[in-house]
Amino acid sequence: MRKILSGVCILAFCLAQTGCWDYLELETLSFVMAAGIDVGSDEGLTLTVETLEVKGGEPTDMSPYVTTTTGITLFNALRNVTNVSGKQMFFGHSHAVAFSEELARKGVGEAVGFMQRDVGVRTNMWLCVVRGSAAKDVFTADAPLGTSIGDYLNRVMMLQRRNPTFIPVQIWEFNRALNEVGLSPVLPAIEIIEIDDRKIPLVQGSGVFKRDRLIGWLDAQDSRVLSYLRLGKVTGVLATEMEYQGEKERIAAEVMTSRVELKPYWENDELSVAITVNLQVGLHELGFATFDYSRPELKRMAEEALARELKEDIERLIRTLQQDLKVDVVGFGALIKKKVPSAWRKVEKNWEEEFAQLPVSVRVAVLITGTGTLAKPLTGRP
Amino acid sequence: MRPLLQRLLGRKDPPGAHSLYFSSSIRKIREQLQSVTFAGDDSIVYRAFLTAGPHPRECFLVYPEGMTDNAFVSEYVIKPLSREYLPPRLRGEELAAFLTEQVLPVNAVEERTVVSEAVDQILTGDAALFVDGCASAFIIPSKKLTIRPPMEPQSESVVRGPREGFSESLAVNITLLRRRVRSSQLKFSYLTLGRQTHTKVAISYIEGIASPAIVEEVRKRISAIDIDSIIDSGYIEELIQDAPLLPIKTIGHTERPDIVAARILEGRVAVLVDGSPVALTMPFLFVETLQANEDYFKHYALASLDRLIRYICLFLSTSTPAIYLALVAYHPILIPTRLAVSIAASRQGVPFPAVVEVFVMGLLFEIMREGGVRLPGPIGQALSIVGAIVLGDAAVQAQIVSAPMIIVVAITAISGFAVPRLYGVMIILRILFSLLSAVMGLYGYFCGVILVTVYFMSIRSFGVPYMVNFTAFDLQNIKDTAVRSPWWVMRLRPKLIARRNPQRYRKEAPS
Repeated sequence: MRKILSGVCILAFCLAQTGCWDYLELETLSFVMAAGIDVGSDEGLTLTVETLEVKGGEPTDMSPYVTTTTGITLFNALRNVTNVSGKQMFFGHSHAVAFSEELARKGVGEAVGFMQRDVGVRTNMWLCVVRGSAAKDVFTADAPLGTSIGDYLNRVMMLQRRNPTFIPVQIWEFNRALNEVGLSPVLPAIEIIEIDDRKIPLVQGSGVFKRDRLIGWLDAQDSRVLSYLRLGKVTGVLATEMEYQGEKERIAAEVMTSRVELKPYWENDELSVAITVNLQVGLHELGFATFDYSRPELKRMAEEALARELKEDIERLIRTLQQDLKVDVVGFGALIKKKVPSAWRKVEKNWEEEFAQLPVSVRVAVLITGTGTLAKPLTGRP
Repeated sequence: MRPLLQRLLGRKDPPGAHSLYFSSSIRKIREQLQSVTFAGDDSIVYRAFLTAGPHPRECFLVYPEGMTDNAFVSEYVIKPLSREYLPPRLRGEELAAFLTEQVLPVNAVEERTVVSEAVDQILTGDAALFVDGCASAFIIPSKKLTIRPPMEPQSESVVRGPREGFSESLAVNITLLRRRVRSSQLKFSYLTLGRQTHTKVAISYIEGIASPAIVEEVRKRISAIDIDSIIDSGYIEELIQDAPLLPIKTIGHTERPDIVAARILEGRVAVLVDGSPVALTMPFLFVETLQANEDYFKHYALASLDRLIRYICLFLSTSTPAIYLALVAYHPILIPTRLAVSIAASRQGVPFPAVVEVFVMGLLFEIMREGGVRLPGPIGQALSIVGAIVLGDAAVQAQIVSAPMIIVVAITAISGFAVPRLYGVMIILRILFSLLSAVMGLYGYFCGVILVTVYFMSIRSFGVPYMVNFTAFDLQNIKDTAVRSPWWVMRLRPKLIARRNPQRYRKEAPS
């Protein structure tokens, strides 16, 4: 009896340890798919939420529904949505939060801090910055058929490795970058572009942050290379132009395996970083009737062309970062701190200037392991 | 002598009985039977006749109407006796010997001098013969009972396997069992229970396999029963089982002789009760609730698949409503987005909270089940139509319950039927888990699961831990749990039950 009683007691004590929860009825909730935050009038914020609502009671007909409210703070604006919709906003299934460029330039720290702290918000939501327009406009853009903008953004982020023109960042990752020395955060950028009279919120490029403030942009190409360096692997498609005996053709290769190594050196009071990229690729797209890549010298040439292209891309990104933006979004500082702490202590104070001067060498080696063809390429000749 | 006898027989004589032994005067005997022992009972037949010869002697037969073979009695008792001459000097023991040895052409005649013993025999359907000058009753085995033939039991039908089931006669049931285990080691020991019903109970086991301690324990518990009636083996089950508070089965029951045979061959003890087609087996372990006799008749891989499905069904049937409730009411974050929205949409307009829905639908299902169980077939169909249309469709259309709730109830019900032996305990667990979920969400559900598991672990059935196959990892014990290993692998009998003679299967004959 005593054992049972103490068992029940222990289980009962656990109740007090388990954080916030409560009984709630599903139909009183509004499922937020994504949210956008703009700078509102009078120093306040404008919050736009996209919720998934069912029309007419038939469970199959789900469509997104956009509500916009204002408030002095984000929390305040969020509670104001409740008054407009008559339902409690439920962030458990939310996929993404978009900041407007204006807000991002003023600083996103408060908003991200709130999302980190609030119980209802999961910190695995994607964050992004809207370039050139208000965050609200993203949700009035046209989502692909049958999805909400939140769903769409989520899918695009999940497929990043197929076409890495941006770096997907979740709330917790952004926070970690904020708290880490020697690494500046980036967020994927959304641009609203028009294709065939449809406004598409296209995710490409990156917004570069210094602390929590947006200070500049990287284009899709630079973001791709940044993704290689930050995620430590090359994914997606590499394309380049081949030239041989006066003839030219474009080729594209898919990366099979890759290794990206960043190594800091501390020699004679001189800091430097060496970037080594090793790739194994398969040629997927060849020109028509020009070169036969089953010939070793042509294969070697293609390898060299791909390597040269990637090396130039990396060097261009480093140049942009060191000369124009002057922020260390690759995380060289964090790397040096980890690998050569003695050197870091010396450069820590004025890392920004040191970063701009940091010599970075790049070596890229490409190996074509598959030509993507079983026979010779198509020639069009019988 | 008298109190001792009474205690041995476990009953008192009916009031007014004034004699313990038969008198030698036939008139007195008849008067005693007619106006004292069977007073007021019109179903007892008294057939008086005389023997042949110069000194006819009075005789009479007593038997209960309808239970005795009339033709047999006329042909083999009345006919030879009424043609026989019994000299007047032939009395007492001599007469008894003469009758049994020379006159009556029946296979067994038993002589009874104690009134109550003879009465017991008469009540089983035998005829008792009284002859003037002899202070005893001659019991003629002339029972002719209408016995239901051993049909396939409806509650335990199989696709492949024997179609025989126990019937209500203990003698027939013993036959069915002995036909399967033709061994002199198979023992039946009789007990009589019930102050009024005098029900014959047989404890059956295989000597050399069954543990004597368990057999002794069973015998001890059964003989300690002091009750006026045993109508079905369920009485005994409830009176001798371990952990009787919750409907957790610690004693197995079956109507199939093949199952009983298999179990006693594993070292278990079976109890057969006259008048009940349901045999009890013990000790009974938790794994057995998820086993079926058919598992052992078909391919082991298919049997194992069925076993796994039953384990899944056990989980589904006890937990579906609880988990649904916890997810919907506490953790909508765990439901996939679109499903959450569609559940929310179908809950739109439903007037009751999810908790009420779960319990009302659960109750309605139990009502339908209880209503349908004892109905004859054609009406049962009407019930299922009403259930399907009214509860399934109309309730959703009228937005009294939400559609997902119907699915939850359906899953619970179907998976419950897959494990019929656990049905009772599953209802209790389902209600318990749902209640805990309603109050505390998934946390409550898991608390419930932990508590129930601990309780199950603490139970013993006749000294054998109820969950023995799950508590400690033992290669021998898990061979017949979630999977049914092939026979050539299950070489030994279950350890804790049949420790004395573990070898079941031999690869080669012993040299």
